[in-house]
Amino acid sequence: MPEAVVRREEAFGEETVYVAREHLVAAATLLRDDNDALYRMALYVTAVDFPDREPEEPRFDVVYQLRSLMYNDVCRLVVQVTENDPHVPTLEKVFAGMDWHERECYDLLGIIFDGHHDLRRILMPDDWEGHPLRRDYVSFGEPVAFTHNIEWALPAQERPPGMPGSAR
Amino acid sequence: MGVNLPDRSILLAQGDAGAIPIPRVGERERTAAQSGVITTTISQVIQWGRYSSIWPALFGLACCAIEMMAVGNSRYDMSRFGAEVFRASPRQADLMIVAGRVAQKMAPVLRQIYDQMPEPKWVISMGACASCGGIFNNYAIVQGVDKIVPVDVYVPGCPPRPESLLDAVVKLQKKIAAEPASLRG
Amino acid sequence: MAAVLPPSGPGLPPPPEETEDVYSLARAAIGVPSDLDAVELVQIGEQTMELNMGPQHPSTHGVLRLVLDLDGEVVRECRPDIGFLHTGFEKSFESHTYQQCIPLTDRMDYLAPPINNFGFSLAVEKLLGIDVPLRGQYIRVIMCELARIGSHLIWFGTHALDLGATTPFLYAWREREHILDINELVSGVRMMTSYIRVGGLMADVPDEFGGMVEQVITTFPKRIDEYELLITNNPIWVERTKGLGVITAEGAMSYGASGPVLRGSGVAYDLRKAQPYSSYDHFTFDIPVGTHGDVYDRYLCRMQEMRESVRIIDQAYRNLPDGPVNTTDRKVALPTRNEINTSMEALIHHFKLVTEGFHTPKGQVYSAVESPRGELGFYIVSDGGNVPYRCKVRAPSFSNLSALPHMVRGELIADVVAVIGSIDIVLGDVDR
Repeated sequence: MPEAVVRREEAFGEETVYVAREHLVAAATLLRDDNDALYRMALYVTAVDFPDREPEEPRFDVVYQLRSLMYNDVCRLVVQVTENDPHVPTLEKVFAGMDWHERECYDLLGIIFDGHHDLRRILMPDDWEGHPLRRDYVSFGEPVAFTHNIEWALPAQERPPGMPGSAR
Repeated sequence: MGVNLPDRSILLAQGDAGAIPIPRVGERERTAAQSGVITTTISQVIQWGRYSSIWPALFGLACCAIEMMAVGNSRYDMSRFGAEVFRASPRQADLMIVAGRVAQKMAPVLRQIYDQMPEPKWVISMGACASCGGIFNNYAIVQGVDKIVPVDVYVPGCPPRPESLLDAVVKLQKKIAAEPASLRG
Repeated sequence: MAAVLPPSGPGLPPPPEETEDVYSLARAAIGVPSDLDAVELVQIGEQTMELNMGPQHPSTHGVLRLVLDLDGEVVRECRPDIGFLHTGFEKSFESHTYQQCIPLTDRMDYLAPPINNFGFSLAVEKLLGIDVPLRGQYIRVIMCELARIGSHLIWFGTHALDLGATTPFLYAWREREHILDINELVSGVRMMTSYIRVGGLMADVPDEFGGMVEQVITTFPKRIDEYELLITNNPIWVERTKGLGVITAEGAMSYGASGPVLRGSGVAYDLRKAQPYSSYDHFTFDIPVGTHGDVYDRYLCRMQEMRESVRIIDQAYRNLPDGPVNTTDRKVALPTRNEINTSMEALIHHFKLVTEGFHTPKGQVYSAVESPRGELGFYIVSDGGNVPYRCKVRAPSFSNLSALPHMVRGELIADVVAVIGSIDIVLGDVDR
């Protein structure tokens, strides 16, 4: 399907095909059904976040990987979307397994899949704010406790009131 | 001697910080024991009953749960310490061994299970992730389960060796022996 | 709550068909004429009951929450709720150097930690374009196959325990202790070995390794026979597992299921044979394949896989070559003590590797290994630095579990437990 392909890259013995968003469903269906390809197993869908690429290039690379058991091969499709318009058509009608993978992609990266029957958070709590795997999401933990900040080593009941994690 | 006294000398360990000062069995008690009379306090007997048959609640979350199962199995047998019966229902358990990392989504569930346990109850925080967040110092893991429930014994390790967990259970037993028994828990 | 049904279409598994009224059989059995619905009079309402099989449950193999829509005891719809063990591995990978990521990978699929290390190492080695010497490859194979046996033993023990058999649980752990002893011998840690690293191994195996592996090779087949004697032809087991939780080959492929879930449905696809990595093509072994795609076939597949693993370990151990275990590329693997003592360059390499780690070329790579659960893949995007820019873990249990609603529709609650056990999920893998 040449009109779908935006560009091709080859590295490390693998080929990556960048497709246009509009032709994604048709391309995936073709890859699944065409007798020379038969990529019938959906491996995953994820996205890579390049926040520094804006505004010249789209921020997110939505990556799909499919496997063909018959021909023992994998193929990778990439759709590029921008931050302001992170919409991609859903592939869950083409592969049943994409259902959960797309929910995970939405949950952790904020890519919205149009046409998904039930797009909600799957790994984080339902009321979580933010998309953790984005590069601008600061992952907060706790500082390591040494003698100068020993309060961080105390359990909740013994922390001074007002400190995060304190029970008093 | 015809009678086997509960050997309270096991409660005093060499070099164990916080050893419980229980008086050793004296001459008069030994003579009385030979005719079948033992003196003790009700508190000690109740606590002896409590620590000798701790029933852990099944709360295996992640990798530490596998080591907890290994402790319950034939090589490192936990049932010789009385803690064999892992109850599925928290209402029938008195020890919660938090074995594994606690994710943000799991934290309210952990608290709910703890609240469902009847008094007296104890908590062992098994492994580095339950004690302090472990190697996961990030958004998804609660940095230490003592932010949610009060913990009695912390066990370091990732995962702790089964002997460490057995040591934790024994230390908990000593701790229970030192607590005054209260019928309200 | 209205049931949200998954989409259906060509290439997807068929939608749930309208099952007939469960009570019609009961009615026919008691001889109640069909117009007099005595049973319906007793039925309370026509709604399904929503039951929560909560995250804390003895037979959910970890913290999995299932919301079941029940009609009596029959499951109409099952909605798994995951995320109770989400650890943010992929975010943590982005702030650790490649060698520092290895102990993190241990904790994902925690029933077979060396295999996670293996998968990650292979992906990074593909990115770097380096080769591991043959001795290193063979020892990696031995450690991974031992881990596979260990994982299948846990599966066996817990699956049997869920269905009521308590003895296999104790037997399985007794054998597993031998495997953990070997882990401890080579790496110092019973479970999370971090033994297989980028560029080779942590260190060469000590001398006692041979004796312990020989003991495994000679005793395990008899032990597996013991387990099969208890379970395989046991009428209770067969009755409880045959014809249950069926998934067709097309359905399995469409859901992305792999491993014994896929092989139990008849697809003979194993990454060790299809895309041999780390000299798996030097060994002869078979791939067990089922026919019906039910719980019983998956059970048989895994039991046979344990035997095949012993076969592989046997061949690898007998033909273990001599030589180094780590790659000679000093930009990746730590130099030996001898080299550090004599060469200045080796000292600098050592310093750089320990403090900063090695840099990988820019690009993206996907590499998969066959874990006991299926295809464990690592998709690594590198921007030329010493930490992965993005590392996506393709977890087999995630995809296998997404097929669960399809498998339990129309089964009884007690069977849900059996099906979960047969998929062999690890929540660390599912939630990452």
